[in-house]
Amino acid sequence: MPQNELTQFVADNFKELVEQHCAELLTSGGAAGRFLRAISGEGRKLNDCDDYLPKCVVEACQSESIFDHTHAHKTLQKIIEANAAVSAAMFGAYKTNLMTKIGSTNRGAFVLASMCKNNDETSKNVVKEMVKSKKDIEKRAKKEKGCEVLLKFL
Amino acid sequence: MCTDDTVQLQKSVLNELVSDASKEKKNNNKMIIEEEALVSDSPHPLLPLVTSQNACKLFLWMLYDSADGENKDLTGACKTDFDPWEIELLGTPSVNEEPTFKKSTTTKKVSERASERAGMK
Repeated sequence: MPQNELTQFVADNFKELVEQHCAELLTSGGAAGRFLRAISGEGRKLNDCDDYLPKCVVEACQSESIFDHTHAHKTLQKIIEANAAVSAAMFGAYKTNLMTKIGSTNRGAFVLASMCKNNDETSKNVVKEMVKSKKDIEKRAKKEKGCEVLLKFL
Repeated sequence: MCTDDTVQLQKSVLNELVSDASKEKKNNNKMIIEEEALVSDSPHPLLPLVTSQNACKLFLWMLYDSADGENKDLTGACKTDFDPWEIELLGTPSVNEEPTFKKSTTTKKVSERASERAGMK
C-alpha cells in the first residue's frame, strides 16, 4: 500500500516531531490529538513508536497542569487506552503519587480511570495503588464525575 | 501512471512540504540570530502541518489504512473516530472526481413552481 511506504518515508520526521513537541501536540487537541492517537493506537504503522512515545509523553506530563488541560487530558486518555507501553511508563513515573500528581483534579481522575481500563498488569497495579486512596476518592466522587468513574474500577 | 510512480510523486510532494517548511524555519532562524535570540526555539517543520485541521488529514490518511486487511479493528475505530473528517474520501479519489453539484430538492421545487406559474399564465 502506498500509505505504508509513505509513512515509513516520513517516520523519522514524525519521531523528531513527537520528541520535540509532545506537549504541544497533547495540548493542541483536534488534529494533533488524532495524529498522536494514530501513531500510538492499535494497528499503528510506526512500529518503533513504543521506543520514544512513552518517554515523550511522561516528559510532557512534567507540567502537572497538563492533566487538567481541556484537550490534553482527553488525548492522554485515548493514548493510554490505546497503548499499553504509554500506560506502563506513566505508572512507572508516578507509581507512588498517582493520586496527588495525576488524580488531584477532576480531569486528572479521568486520566487515572483510563489507566485502570486496559485489564493488563499495569492497570491491576494502578487499581492496587488507587485502593489505598479509596476513602478520599469516595468523598470526591460525590462532587466530581472523574472520581465517580475511577471508583467503578476499585 | 503506475502505482510506483504515484508513490514517488507523493514522496516528492512530502519532501517539498518538509523542505519548504525547513527553508522557512532557516529564514526564521537567520532573523532570530540577527535578533540575538535562541535558534533552538524554532518549531519542527511538521508542527504547523500536524496541528492544522486540514493538512493533518494527509498524515492521518497515511497512518490509517482502511484497505489493509490486518487493520480491520482499526478501520472500525477509524469510522467512529474520523466521521467528521470524511477520511475515507481521501482513500477513494474517484468519489471526489464525481460532480459535486447536484440540484437540491428546494431548487427543483422553486423551478417547478416557476414553470407551474408560467403554465398558469
